[in-house]
Amino acid sequence: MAERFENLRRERRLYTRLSTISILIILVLIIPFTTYSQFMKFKLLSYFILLTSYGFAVIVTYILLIIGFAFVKGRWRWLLIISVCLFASSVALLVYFTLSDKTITQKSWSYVLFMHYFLNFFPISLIFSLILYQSRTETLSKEKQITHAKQDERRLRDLAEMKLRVLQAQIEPHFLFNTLAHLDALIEDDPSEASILLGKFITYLRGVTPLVKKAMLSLDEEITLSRSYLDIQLSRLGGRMSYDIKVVGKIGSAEIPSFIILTLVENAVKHAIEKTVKGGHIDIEIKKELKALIISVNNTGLSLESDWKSGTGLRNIKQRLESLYEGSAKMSLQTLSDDRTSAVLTLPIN
Amino acid sequence: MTLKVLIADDEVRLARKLSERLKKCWPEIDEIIMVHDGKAALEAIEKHDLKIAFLDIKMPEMTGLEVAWHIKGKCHVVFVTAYNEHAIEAFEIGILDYLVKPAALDRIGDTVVRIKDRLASKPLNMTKNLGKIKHMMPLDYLRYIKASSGVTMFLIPVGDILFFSTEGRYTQVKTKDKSPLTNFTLKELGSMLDPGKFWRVRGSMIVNITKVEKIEIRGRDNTKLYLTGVPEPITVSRVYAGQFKKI
Repeated sequence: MAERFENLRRERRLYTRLSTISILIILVLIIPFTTYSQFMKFKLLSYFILLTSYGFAVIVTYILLIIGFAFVKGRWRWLLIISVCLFASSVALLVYFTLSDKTITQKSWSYVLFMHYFLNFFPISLIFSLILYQSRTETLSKEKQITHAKQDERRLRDLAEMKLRVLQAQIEPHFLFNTLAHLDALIEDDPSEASILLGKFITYLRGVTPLVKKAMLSLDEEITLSRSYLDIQLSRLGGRMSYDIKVVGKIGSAEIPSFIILTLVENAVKHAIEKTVKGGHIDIEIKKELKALIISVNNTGLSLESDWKSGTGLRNIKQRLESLYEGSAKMSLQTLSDDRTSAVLTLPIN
Repeated sequence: MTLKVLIADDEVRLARKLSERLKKCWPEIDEIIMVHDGKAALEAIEKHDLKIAFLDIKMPEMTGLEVAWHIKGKCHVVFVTAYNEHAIEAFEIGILDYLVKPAALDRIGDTVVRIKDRLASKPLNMTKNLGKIKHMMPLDYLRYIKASSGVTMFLIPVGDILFFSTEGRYTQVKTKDKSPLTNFTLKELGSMLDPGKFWRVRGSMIVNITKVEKIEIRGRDNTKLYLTGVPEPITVSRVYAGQFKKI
């Protein structure tokens, strides 16, 4: 599709260039030669040049009018048409006056040419170019419709795919079974701890399962969900992990894309903390700045450089931000030092 | 003979639970050694000359698969994991059993029977098989190489290695300050190293190209590499010289 438009543009550029060159040639040829040959009384040569130039002028006028109607848009079109008309009339006048002081036959000759130019050729070219213009715009608008339809279809498909991916990412079997294994161990050893963990797990599942369908969550819901996830991980990893969630100032009821904090937190646990023996710390800070909500997830542990940045979780976030905010939301990732990574989301709120 | 078993799992609670249940099913065990990362697991296997290891797949430092690759048939391996997505592949590479967490007592009992059956026979060498099917498993490139000089064993981080070269039956692992030997062949190592960092330069040598300071190309048969901290240059054989011309 883009190729077609590019071709059109190239075509248009070619025509404009051609016509400019032809106008220049005519001006350069017609005026000096007619004056010169008249002065020298080379009648035959003078007529020959005059008529050839006239024929050339007719062709150029045709081309320019067609370009004017079919290819050039906006005020340039009318500028071009007016200048073509001026050019055409000047050619016709030039022809008329050059021949007018000659014999009657010659006079009628010039009259014929003049009339031919204005009465015959002009309306025909107008009609012709109008038809061309019409068909052109029709095909263009048809092409546009098709592109729109295709874009819509793709957007829908992307959305469906995204939902599926969010679902797969959230209900990760490894996490579920691992938590169950911990519950199994705790039930024998420490039933009260088991019941606490089970409570967290229920909160997590309740948060995750029905909300997969929702594109947006309230900030509170998202924080509760992330907290339940982190608490479960805390119980699993023991002393290897710690976390802190801080909400700065009053934020009110902000809506954010579902699972967006959770995904960042999961990434930090999976790639930075679980992979090292010494573990790490996760700091989540949420604050409001003018008309934006700023969510930062900083963590220590293994550097997240390679495998994290290219992961599916982050790709999901990027795509969702793009489709929900159309470019007005931002996500930036930074490696602060060897073992510290920071992810910052900037979401517009009203 | 004392019967020692290794349990490696980064989740302490689960490791403890497994050891408890294992003891119940197999009271003859003298000692259960518990570690919480892959590197410690490999060190323990070497140090105590263990014959049975229960390895979690997802572990810090080294994954259970990486440990299994390094063991090279010295010990029977049982994988323990929370989710059985790779069970079939795991059996294909020759592990003894595959336990899914949480493993119930009677399931662990089955494993014990299996272990007792096979304890007398030699464990299967998983190194070759793992290399073959590594694209099907979550097996990353190696992060450590096990090598030793004399009786001292080292686990050398691959980033520190300058080059590997064949020395008789063994392979020398050259780092800045030491050059211990490992019993992995260049072929085995080559299939498990990041091809973006480790390049074959001749039949008997693999070089860490991130350590190359200078490349000298003088004609078709004369390509030399200068590595940081190695005074004498390394000659690249003609077969492998092509890849250096492309950079």
